Amino acid sequence: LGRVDLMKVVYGESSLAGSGKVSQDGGSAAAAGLDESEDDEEGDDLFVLKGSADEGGRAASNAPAAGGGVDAPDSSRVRHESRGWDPDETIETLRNRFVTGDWAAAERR
Amino acid sequence: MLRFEGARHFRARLLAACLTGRGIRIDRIREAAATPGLRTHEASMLRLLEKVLVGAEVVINETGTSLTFRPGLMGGGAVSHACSGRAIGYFLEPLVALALFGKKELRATLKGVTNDDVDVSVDAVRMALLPLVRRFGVEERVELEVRSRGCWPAGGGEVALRVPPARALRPLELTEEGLVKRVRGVAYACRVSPQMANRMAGAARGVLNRLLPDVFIVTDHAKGATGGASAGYGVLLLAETTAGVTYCVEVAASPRADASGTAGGGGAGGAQHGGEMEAPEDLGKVAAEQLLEEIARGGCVDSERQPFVLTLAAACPGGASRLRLGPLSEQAVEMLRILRDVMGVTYRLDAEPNTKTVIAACVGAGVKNAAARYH
Repeated sequence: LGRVDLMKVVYGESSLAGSGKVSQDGGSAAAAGLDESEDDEEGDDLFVLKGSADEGGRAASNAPAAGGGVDAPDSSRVRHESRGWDPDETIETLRNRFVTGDWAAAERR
Repeated sequence: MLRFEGARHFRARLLAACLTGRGIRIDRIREAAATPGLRTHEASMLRLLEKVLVGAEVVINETGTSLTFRPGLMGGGAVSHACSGRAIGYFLEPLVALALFGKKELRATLKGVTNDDVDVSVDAVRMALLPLVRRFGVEERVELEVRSRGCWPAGGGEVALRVPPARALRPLELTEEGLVKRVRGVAYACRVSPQMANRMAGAARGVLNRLLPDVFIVTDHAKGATGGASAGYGVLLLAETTAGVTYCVEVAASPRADASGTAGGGGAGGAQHGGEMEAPEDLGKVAAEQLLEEIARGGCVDSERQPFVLTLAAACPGGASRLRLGPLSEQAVEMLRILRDVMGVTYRLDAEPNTKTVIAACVGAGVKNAAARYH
């Protein structure tokens, strides 16, 4: 991932309304899907209610479906996908980020 | 006047407007939802802003789907606010950033939910967010006192925030990650057995002790008047590195399903919580694993604090800021867009493939605090 790519992903879209492109989350398939249905809004799905994603209010932070759509809930909480830290090998991959690890290896990082 | 659409990133848009003094308009707020328009928490956020701003003007249309906001100037002073619809952390994040640019010292008393599973808790604001303010060269004491805890839905918590206007915010140079040297934490339990806190702390320690001996988790069993009105428990973990970088994560039990009926303004959202509260051992383990994920992502600012730091660096007067971040969170990406569109600050983003981190650099827009603007 070079510099150009990252700049494009972040700044390729506008946060403002009516700036040509519909603002949506960079590359999130779920969000793109939701926004597409937004575009059709004037058409046949006039009376179709949107899902709980744009209900706003309080969605549990561990519900990944909360993202996407122009009314996506506004929360700073982040929940990472856990890779499963139980096997010792997995946890050892982080060893050199701790003072208990190899300091020279940490320097090379 | 800048125009936005929809309810997403509501606070980020308002904050950017306040910092630049530019008016914004948001249309089509939940236009297609069963109950269209602004929610309780958003109205509450606007009311709080009206209390701390001087000359702010908020106009909402009849259905609540369109909002015009002219921010005026940040005043500060003593305010008291009942935070409804969402936890206090939702209101604190923009308020802290804004208060640094105030005319007078902000002394805010906020009441409501201090800890839940949706918003950043008051403990995270106190332990992770406020220390970051010091990185911008703010010498004055920025404090958050947790007077009582309160869990979702009934709340009953109270915090006191004190933020003096920053005389001079300094550009940020934050690229050294360091090595994790210790982990601190808070395990709280409100209106449940005090054993809950110990069980969460024990489970979290069990995971983290495999990498580090120095793990110390305070247990806080809030009882009586300081325990709020609802049952709840959760744990916050904060890893500190040799370079003074902190990684903070938190986990809280989902409120009981039967409690959703009393959720003030939560409405349909509250009903999404189902079943029993998670076992404290599971929560402790999840928190520890979340912390490991956060450390694995790296950078000098943790995921939840990325938008806050990016905002302050962009508002900073005089000179360039440089900071190292882990993979950008979704909120951070949108914050970057809003900062460009409202404040006119574009970051230079350089990905470093070998560390999988991003170096973000910008020249601040030079937002002065309201006190300075009068001289």
